[in-house]
Amino acid sequence: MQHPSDDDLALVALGEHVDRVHEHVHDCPGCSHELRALSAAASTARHADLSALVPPPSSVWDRIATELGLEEPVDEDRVVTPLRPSWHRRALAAAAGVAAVAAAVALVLTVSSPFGSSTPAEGASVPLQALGGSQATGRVVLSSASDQRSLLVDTAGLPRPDGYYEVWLLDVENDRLVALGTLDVSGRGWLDVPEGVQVSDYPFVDVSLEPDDGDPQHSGDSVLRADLPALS
Amino acid sequence: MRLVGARRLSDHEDLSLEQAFASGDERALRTVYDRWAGLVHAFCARSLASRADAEEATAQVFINAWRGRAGFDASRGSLPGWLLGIARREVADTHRAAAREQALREALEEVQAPEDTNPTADQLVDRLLVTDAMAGLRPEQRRAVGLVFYDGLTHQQVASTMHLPLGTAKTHIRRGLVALRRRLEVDGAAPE
Repeated sequence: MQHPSDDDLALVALGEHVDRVHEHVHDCPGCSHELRALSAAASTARHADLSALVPPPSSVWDRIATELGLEEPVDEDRVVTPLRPSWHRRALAAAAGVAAVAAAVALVLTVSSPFGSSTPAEGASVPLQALGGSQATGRVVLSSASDQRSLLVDTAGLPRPDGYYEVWLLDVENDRLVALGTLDVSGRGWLDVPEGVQVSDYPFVDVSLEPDDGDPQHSGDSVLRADLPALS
Repeated sequence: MRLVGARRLSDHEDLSLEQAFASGDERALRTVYDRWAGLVHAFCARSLASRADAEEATAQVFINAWRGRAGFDASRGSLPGWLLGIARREVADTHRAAAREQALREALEEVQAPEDTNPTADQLVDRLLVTDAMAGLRPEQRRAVGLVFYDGLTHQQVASTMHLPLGTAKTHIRRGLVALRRRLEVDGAAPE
Protein backbone atom coordinates (compact mmCIF):
# COMPACT_ATOMS: atom_id res chain seq x y z
CA MET A 1 0.00 0.00 0.00
CA GLN A 2 1.51 3.26 -1.11
CA HIS A 3 1.87 6.15 1.35
CA PRO A 4 0.30 9.44 0.33
CA SER A 5 2.60 12.30 -0.64
CA ASP A 6 3.66 14.78 2.02
CA ASP A 7 1.69 17.46 0.20
CA ASP A 8 -1.50 15.41 0.24
CA LEU A 9 -1.14 14.50 3.88
CA ALA A 10 -0.75 18.18 4.76
CA LEU A 11 -3.93 18.98 2.82
CA VAL A 12 -5.83 16.31 4.71
CA ALA A 13 -4.50 17.74 7.99
CA LEU A 14 -5.96 21.06 6.88
CA GLY A 15 -9.35 19.52 6.31
CA GLU A 16 -9.34 18.85 2.60
CA HIS A 17 -10.54 15.59 1.18
CA VAL A 18 -7.95 13.77 -0.88
CA ASP A 19 -8.94 10.49 -2.54
CA ARG A 20 -7.83 7.35 -0.71
CA VAL A 21 -5.70 9.21 1.86
CA HIS A 22 -8.23 8.84 4.66
CA GLU A 23 -8.50 5.11 4.05
CA HIS A 24 -4.75 4.70 4.01
CA VAL A 25 -4.16 6.73 7.16
CA HIS A 26 -6.72 4.66 9.00
CA ASP A 27 -4.59 1.56 8.51
CA CYS A 28 -1.10 3.09 8.68
CA PRO A 29 0.27 4.01 12.12
CA GLY A 30 3.13 6.11 10.69
CA CYS A 31 0.92 8.27 8.50
CA SER A 32 -1.69 8.45 11.22
CA HIS A 33 0.89 9.85 13.65
CA GLU A 34 2.03 12.37 11.04
CA LEU A 35 -1.50 13.45 10.39
CA ARG A 36 -2.23 13.99 14.07
CA ALA A 37 0.89 16.14 14.52
CA LEU A 38 0.12 18.23 11.44
CA SER A 39 -3.51 18.63 12.47
CA ALA A 40 -2.47 19.78 15.95
CA ALA A 41 -0.15 22.38 14.44
CA ALA A 42 -2.91 23.51 12.09
CA SER A 43 -5.39 23.78 14.92
CA THR A 44 -3.02 25.92 17.01
CA ALA A 45 -2.07 28.00 14.00
CA ARG A 46 -5.70 28.90 13.34
CA HIS A 47 -5.48 30.89 16.57
CA ALA A 48 -2.28 32.62 15.50
CA ASP A 49 -2.67 36.35 15.29
CA LEU A 50 0.15 38.23 13.61
CA SER A 51 -1.23 41.52 14.83
CA ALA A 52 -0.53 40.34 18.40
CA LEU A 53 3.19 40.79 17.97
CA VAL A 54 3.23 44.48 18.72
CA PRO A 55 6.53 45.82 20.00
CA PRO A 56 6.35 47.35 23.48
CA PRO A 57 7.01 51.09 23.87
CA SER A 58 10.64 52.22 23.79
CA SER A 59 10.56 52.83 27.55
CA VAL A 60 10.82 49.05 27.97
CA TRP A 61 14.18 48.93 26.24
CA ASP A 62 15.34 51.97 28.22
CA ARG A 63 14.45 50.12 31.41
CA ILE A 64 16.49 47.08 30.28
CA ALA A 65 19.48 49.21 29.26
CA THR A 66 19.44 51.05 32.58
CA GLU A 67 19.07 47.90 34.65
CA LEU A 68 21.84 46.09 32.82
CA GLY A 69 24.10 49.13 32.68
CA LEU A 70 24.43 49.00 28.90
CA GLU A 71 26.72 51.78 27.80
CA GLU A 72 23.84 53.92 26.58
CA PRO A 73 20.24 53.40 25.63
CA VAL A 74 20.30 52.22 22.05
CA ASP A 75 18.34 54.68 19.98
CA GLU A 76 17.72 54.52 16.29
CA ASP A 77 20.56 56.86 15.34
CA ARG A 78 23.07 54.96 17.38
CA VAL A 79 25.90 53.57 15.33
CA VAL A 80 26.35 50.01 16.37
CA THR A 81 29.72 49.15 14.99
CA PRO A 82 32.58 50.48 17.09
CA LEU A 83 34.54 51.28 13.95
CA ARG A 84 32.36 54.18 12.94
CA PRO A 85 33.78 57.68 13.60
CA SER A 86 30.71 58.85 15.50
CA TRP A 87 31.11 55.94 17.90
CA HIS A 88 34.69 57.01 18.60
CA ARG A 89 33.61 60.57 19.18
CA ARG A 90 31.01 59.44 21.64
CA ALA A 91 33.31 57.01 23.37
CA LEU A 92 36.00 59.66 23.74
CA ALA A 93 33.53 62.16 25.04
CA ALA A 94 32.07 59.72 27.50
CA ALA A 95 33.20 59.16 31.06
CA ALA A 96 36.06 56.74 31.64
CA GLY A 97 33.74 54.03 32.94
CA VAL A 98 31.57 54.25 29.87
CA ALA A 99 34.63 54.12 27.66
CA ALA A 100 35.75 51.00 29.49
CA VAL A 101 32.41 49.35 28.80
CA ALA A 102 32.64 50.36 25.16
CA ALA A 103 36.12 48.87 25.00
CA ALA A 104 34.84 45.67 26.57
CA VAL A 105 32.05 45.55 23.99
CA ALA A 106 34.55 46.09 21.20
CA LEU A 107 36.63 43.25 22.61
CA VAL A 108 33.64 40.94 22.74
CA LEU A 109 32.79 41.88 19.17
CA THR A 110 36.30 41.03 18.15
CA VAL A 111 36.56 37.71 19.91
CA SER A 112 33.02 36.62 19.14
CA SER A 113 33.46 36.62 15.40
CA PRO A 114 36.43 34.44 14.61
CA PHE A 115 34.20 32.44 12.27
CA GLY A 116 35.61 30.78 9.23
CA SER A 117 34.08 31.57 5.87
CA SER A 118 31.67 28.67 6.05
CA THR A 119 30.05 29.75 9.29
CA PRO A 120 27.45 32.48 9.43
CA ALA A 121 28.81 36.01 9.41
CA GLU A 122 26.78 38.98 10.37
CA GLY A 123 27.38 42.56 9.41
CA ALA A 124 26.72 45.58 11.52
CA SER A 125 23.18 46.52 12.33
CA VAL A 126 22.50 49.83 10.63
CA PRO A 127 19.56 52.13 11.34
CA LEU A 128 17.03 52.89 8.65
CA GLN A 129 16.33 56.58 8.20
CA ALA A 130 12.78 57.74 7.61
CA LEU A 131 12.08 59.57 4.35
CA GLY A 132 9.24 61.82 3.32
CA GLY A 133 8.03 62.74 6.79
CA SER A 134 7.57 59.15 7.93
CA GLN A 135 7.81 58.49 11.67
CA ALA A 136 8.99 54.94 11.12
CA THR A 137 12.27 53.52 12.41
CA GLY A 138 14.14 50.34 11.75
CA ARG A 139 17.42 48.62 11.15
CA VAL A 140 19.02 46.31 8.64
CA VAL A 141 21.65 43.61 9.02
CA LEU A 142 23.36 41.89 6.13
CA SER A 143 24.46 38.38 6.96
CA SER A 144 25.90 35.42 5.19
CA ALA A 145 25.60 31.69 5.81
CA SER A 146 26.87 28.96 3.52
CA ASP A 147 27.50 31.58 0.83
CA GLN A 148 23.88 32.68 0.90
CA ARG A 149 23.64 36.32 1.84
CA SER A 150 20.49 37.63 3.37
CA LEU A 151 19.24 40.90 4.65
CA LEU A 152 17.28 41.23 7.85
CA VAL A 153 15.04 44.27 7.70
CA ASP A 154 13.22 45.14 10.89
CA THR A 155 10.98 48.18 11.04
CA ALA A 156 8.66 49.78 13.54
CA GLY A 157 6.06 52.47 13.14
CA LEU A 158 5.20 52.01 9.48
CA PRO A 159 1.49 52.60 9.00
CA ARG A 160 -0.63 49.76 7.66
CA PRO A 161 0.01 50.06 3.95
CA ASP A 162 -2.48 50.61 1.21
CA GLY A 163 -0.62 48.00 -0.81
CA TYR A 164 2.63 46.62 0.62
CA TYR A 165 6.20 47.51 1.56
CA GLU A 166 9.00 46.33 -0.70
CA VAL A 167 12.73 46.22 -0.03
CA TRP A 168 15.30 47.17 -2.67
CA LEU A 169 19.02 47.44 -3.13
CA LEU A 170 19.92 50.74 -4.75
CA ASP A 171 23.04 52.02 -6.48
CA VAL A 172 24.53 55.46 -5.89
CA GLU A 173 22.82 57.06 -8.89
CA ASN A 174 19.46 55.59 -7.85
CA ASP A 175 19.04 54.19 -11.34
CA ARG A 176 19.86 50.53 -10.74
CA LEU A 177 17.68 48.52 -8.41
CA VAL A 178 17.34 44.99 -7.16
CA ALA A 179 13.98 44.01 -5.65
CA LEU A 180 14.62 41.74 -2.66
CA GLY A 181 11.12 41.08 -1.40
CA THR A 182 8.41 42.43 0.84
CA LEU A 183 7.97 43.14 4.53
CA ASP A 184 5.55 41.00 6.47
CA VAL A 185 2.68 42.40 8.51
CA SER A 186 4.97 42.89 11.50
CA GLY A 187 7.19 45.11 9.34
CA ARG A 188 9.96 42.57 9.12
CA GLY A 189 11.68 40.67 6.36
CA TRP A 190 14.43 38.07 6.06
CA LEU A 191 15.32 38.46 2.44
CA ASP A 192 17.78 36.53 0.33
CA VAL A 193 20.22 38.51 -1.76
CA PRO A 194 20.42 36.84 -5.19
CA GLU A 195 23.70 35.07 -5.74
CA GLY A 196 24.61 37.00 -8.87
CA VAL A 197 24.28 40.39 -7.22
CA GLN A 198 27.48 42.27 -6.39
CA VAL A 199 26.44 43.86 -3.10
CA SER A 200 29.15 46.50 -3.22
CA ASP A 201 27.49 47.93 -6.34
CA TYR A 202 24.38 48.76 -4.31
CA PRO A 203 25.26 50.80 -1.25
CA PHE A 204 21.69 51.58 -0.18
CA VAL A 205 18.77 49.62 1.19
CA ASP A 206 15.46 51.22 0.33
CA VAL A 207 11.97 50.41 1.59
CA SER A 208 9.15 51.62 -0.63
CA LEU A 209 5.40 51.72 -0.34
CA GLU A 210 4.03 49.88 -3.36
CA PRO A 211 0.44 50.10 -4.52
CA ASP A 212 -1.21 46.81 -5.43
CA ASP A 213 -1.24 47.69 -9.12
CA GLY A 214 0.71 44.77 -10.53
CA ASP A 215 3.52 47.06 -11.66
CA PRO A 216 6.84 45.51 -10.63
CA GLN A 217 8.72 48.83 -10.85
CA HIS A 218 9.67 50.91 -7.83
CA SER A 219 6.76 53.23 -7.03
CA GLY A 220 9.08 56.14 -6.25
CA ASP A 221 7.50 56.33 -2.81
CA SER A 222 10.45 55.52 -0.52
CA VAL A 223 9.71 55.48 3.20
CA LEU A 224 12.96 54.23 4.76
CA ARG A 225 16.56 54.04 3.65
CA ALA A 226 19.89 52.84 5.04
CA ASP A 227 23.50 52.51 3.99
CA LEU A 228 23.97 48.85 3.20
CA PRO A 229 25.95 47.41 6.10
CA ALA A 230 29.18 45.64 5.23
CA LEU A 231 29.71 42.05 6.28
CA SER A 232 32.02 41.63 9.23
CA MET B 1 9.36 8.27 7.81
CA ARG B 2 8.81 11.80 6.72
CA LEU B 3 11.25 14.64 6.76
CA VAL B 4 10.34 17.49 9.03
CA GLY B 5 11.50 20.01 6.43
CA ALA B 6 14.97 21.12 5.48
CA ARG B 7 16.57 23.80 7.61
CA ARG B 8 15.75 27.19 6.24
CA LEU B 9 18.19 30.01 5.91
CA SER B 10 16.60 31.97 8.72
CA ASP B 11 17.31 29.06 11.03
CA HIS B 12 20.98 29.52 10.30
CA GLU B 13 20.64 33.19 11.05
CA ASP B 14 18.83 32.45 14.28
CA LEU B 15 21.63 30.06 15.16
CA SER B 16 24.34 32.67 14.68
CA LEU B 17 22.27 35.15 16.65
CA GLU B 18 21.88 32.63 19.45
CA GLN B 19 25.64 32.08 19.50
CA ALA B 20 26.32 35.80 19.65
CA PHE B 21 23.76 36.21 22.42
CA ALA B 22 25.22 33.38 24.46
CA SER B 23 28.71 34.80 24.04
CA GLY B 24 27.64 38.08 25.63
CA ASP B 25 27.51 40.29 22.55
CA GLU B 26 25.39 43.30 23.52
CA ARG B 27 24.49 43.88 19.88
CA ALA B 28 22.92 40.46 19.91
CA LEU B 29 20.85 41.42 22.95
CA ARG B 30 19.48 44.39 21.04
CA THR B 31 18.79 42.25 17.98
CA VAL B 32 17.11 39.61 20.12
CA TYR B 33 15.04 42.33 21.71
CA ASP B 34 14.08 43.85 18.37
CA ARG B 35 13.10 40.46 17.05
CA TRP B 36 11.16 39.01 19.98
CA ALA B 37 10.10 41.87 22.27
CA GLY B 38 6.77 41.82 20.44
CA LEU B 39 6.37 38.11 21.15
CA VAL B 40 7.27 38.41 24.83
CA HIS B 41 5.15 41.52 25.21
CA ALA B 42 2.18 39.79 23.58
CA PHE B 43 2.42 36.96 26.12
CA CYS B 44 2.77 39.34 29.08
CA ALA B 45 -0.02 41.62 27.87
CA ARG B 46 -2.38 38.66 27.50
CA SER B 47 -1.47 37.25 30.89
CA LEU B 48 -1.47 40.38 33.02
CA ALA B 49 -4.36 42.77 33.41
CA SER B 50 -2.33 45.95 33.79
CA ARG B 51 -0.46 47.44 30.88
CA ALA B 52 2.25 48.74 33.22
CA ASP B 53 2.70 45.25 34.68
CA ALA B 54 2.97 43.78 31.18
CA GLU B 55 5.65 46.26 30.17
CA GLU B 56 7.59 45.79 33.38
CA ALA B 57 7.39 42.01 32.97
CA THR B 58 8.59 42.32 29.37
CA ALA B 59 11.62 44.34 30.47
CA GLN B 60 12.29 41.89 33.29
CA VAL B 61 12.23 38.94 30.89
CA PHE B 62 15.07 40.41 28.80
CA ILE B 63 16.99 41.45 31.92
CA ASN B 64 16.70 37.93 33.32
CA ALA B 65 17.51 36.42 29.94
CA TRP B 66 20.67 38.47 29.60
CA ARG B 67 21.83 37.73 33.12
CA GLY B 68 20.92 34.07 32.74
CA ARG B 69 22.18 33.63 29.19
CA ALA B 70 24.59 30.92 30.36
CA GLY B 71 21.49 28.83 31.03
CA PHE B 72 20.33 28.96 27.44
CA ASP B 73 20.94 25.67 25.66
CA ALA B 74 20.30 25.83 21.92
CA SER B 75 20.13 22.05 21.76
CA ARG B 76 17.04 22.07 23.97
CA GLY B 77 14.96 24.67 22.19
CA SER B 78 14.93 27.93 20.32
CA LEU B 79 15.69 31.33 21.76
CA PRO B 80 12.10 32.57 21.45
CA GLY B 81 10.90 29.40 23.17
CA TRP B 82 13.36 29.99 25.99
CA LEU B 83 12.29 33.63 26.30
CA LEU B 84 8.67 32.59 26.60
CA GLY B 85 9.66 30.16 29.37
CA ILE B 86 11.21 33.05 31.27
CA ALA B 87 8.12 35.12 30.55
CA ARG B 88 5.89 32.43 32.07
CA ARG B 89 7.88 32.50 35.31
CA GLU B 90 7.86 36.28 35.35
CA VAL B 91 4.10 36.40 34.83
CA ALA B 92 3.60 33.82 37.59
CA ASP B 93 5.71 35.94 39.95
CA THR B 94 3.70 39.02 39.09
CA HIS B 95 0.47 37.13 39.70
CA ARG B 96 1.73 35.95 43.06
CA ALA B 97 2.78 39.45 44.06
CA ALA B 98 -0.56 40.83 42.92
CA ALA B 99 -2.36 38.11 44.84
CA ARG B 100 -0.52 39.03 48.01
CA GLU B 101 -1.43 42.68 47.61
CA GLN B 102 -4.97 41.77 46.83
CA ALA B 103 -5.14 39.52 49.86
CA LEU B 104 -3.92 42.33 52.06
CA ARG B 105 -6.35 44.83 50.63
CA GLU B 106 -9.41 42.72 50.43
CA ALA B 107 -8.94 39.73 52.64
CA LEU B 108 -12.45 38.53 51.98
CA GLU B 109 -12.56 38.79 48.25
CA GLU B 110 -11.33 35.90 46.24
CA VAL B 111 -8.50 36.59 43.85
CA GLN B 112 -9.83 36.81 40.33
CA ALA B 113 -8.86 33.68 38.48
CA PRO B 114 -8.45 33.82 34.73
CA GLU B 115 -11.77 33.29 33.01
CA ASP B 116 -12.50 29.88 31.63
CA THR B 117 -12.81 31.24 28.13
CA ASN B 118 -9.20 32.43 28.21
CA PRO B 119 -6.61 30.09 26.82
CA THR B 120 -4.39 28.33 29.32
CA ALA B 121 -0.79 29.51 29.62
CA ASP B 122 0.26 26.43 27.61
CA GLN B 123 -2.15 27.25 24.82
CA LEU B 124 -1.13 30.88 24.84
CA VAL B 125 2.56 29.98 24.60
CA ASP B 126 1.86 27.61 21.73
CA ARG B 127 -0.27 30.11 19.85
CA LEU B 128 2.35 32.80 20.19
CA LEU B 129 5.13 30.43 19.17
CA VAL B 130 3.18 29.54 16.07
CA THR B 131 2.45 33.20 15.43
CA ASP B 132 6.16 33.94 15.64
CA ALA B 133 6.88 31.01 13.34
CA MET B 134 4.25 32.34 10.91
CA ALA B 135 5.97 35.72 10.91
CA GLY B 136 9.23 33.96 10.05
CA LEU B 137 7.86 31.96 7.12
CA ARG B 138 8.85 32.85 3.61
CA PRO B 139 6.25 35.30 2.30
CA GLU B 140 4.77 32.91 -0.25
CA GLN B 141 4.38 30.17 2.36
CA ARG B 142 2.85 32.54 4.87
CA ARG B 143 0.39 33.81 2.32
CA ALA B 144 -0.53 30.29 1.26
CA VAL B 145 -1.16 28.91 4.75
CA GLY B 146 -2.84 32.17 5.75
CA LEU B 147 -5.32 31.78 2.91
CA VAL B 148 -6.06 28.26 4.11
CA PHE B 149 -6.28 29.07 7.82
CA TYR B 150 -8.03 32.40 7.84
CA ASP B 151 -9.89 32.49 4.55
CA GLY B 152 -10.75 28.82 4.45
CA LEU B 153 -9.51 28.35 0.90
CA THR B 154 -8.74 24.97 -0.62
CA HIS B 155 -5.39 24.43 -2.29
CA GLN B 156 -7.03 24.90 -5.69
CA GLN B 157 -8.34 28.28 -4.59
CA VAL B 158 -4.95 29.18 -3.12
CA ALA B 159 -3.34 28.32 -6.44
CA SER B 160 -5.74 30.48 -8.40
CA THR B 161 -5.57 33.36 -5.89
CA MET B 162 -1.78 33.36 -5.92
CA HIS B 163 -1.53 32.56 -9.64
CA LEU B 164 0.50 29.45 -8.96
CA PRO B 165 0.50 25.96 -10.43
CA LEU B 166 -1.41 23.52 -8.22
CA GLY B 167 1.71 21.61 -7.22
CA THR B 168 3.51 24.79 -6.16
CA ALA B 169 0.57 25.90 -4.06
CA LYS B 170 0.46 22.51 -2.34
CA THR B 171 4.16 22.66 -1.63
CA HIS B 172 3.94 26.15 -0.13
CA ILE B 173 1.09 25.02 2.08
CA ARG B 174 2.87 21.88 3.19
CA ARG B 175 6.19 23.60 3.89
CA GLY B 176 4.47 26.35 5.83
CA LEU B 177 2.53 23.88 7.93
CA VAL B 178 5.59 21.71 8.55
CA ALA B 179 7.58 24.74 9.74
CA LEU B 180 4.83 25.62 12.22
CA ARG B 181 4.65 22.06 13.42
CA ARG B 182 8.40 21.91 13.89
CA ARG B 183 8.35 25.02 16.04
CA LEU B 184 5.66 23.47 18.23
CA GLU B 185 7.62 20.25 18.54
CA VAL B 186 10.82 22.06 19.50
CA ASP B 187 9.34 24.56 21.93
CA GLY B 188 5.68 23.74 22.40
CA ALA B 189 4.21 23.80 25.87
CA ALA B 190 0.97 21.87 25.53
CA PRO B 191 1.12 18.09 25.80
CA GLU B 192 0.12 16.28 22.63
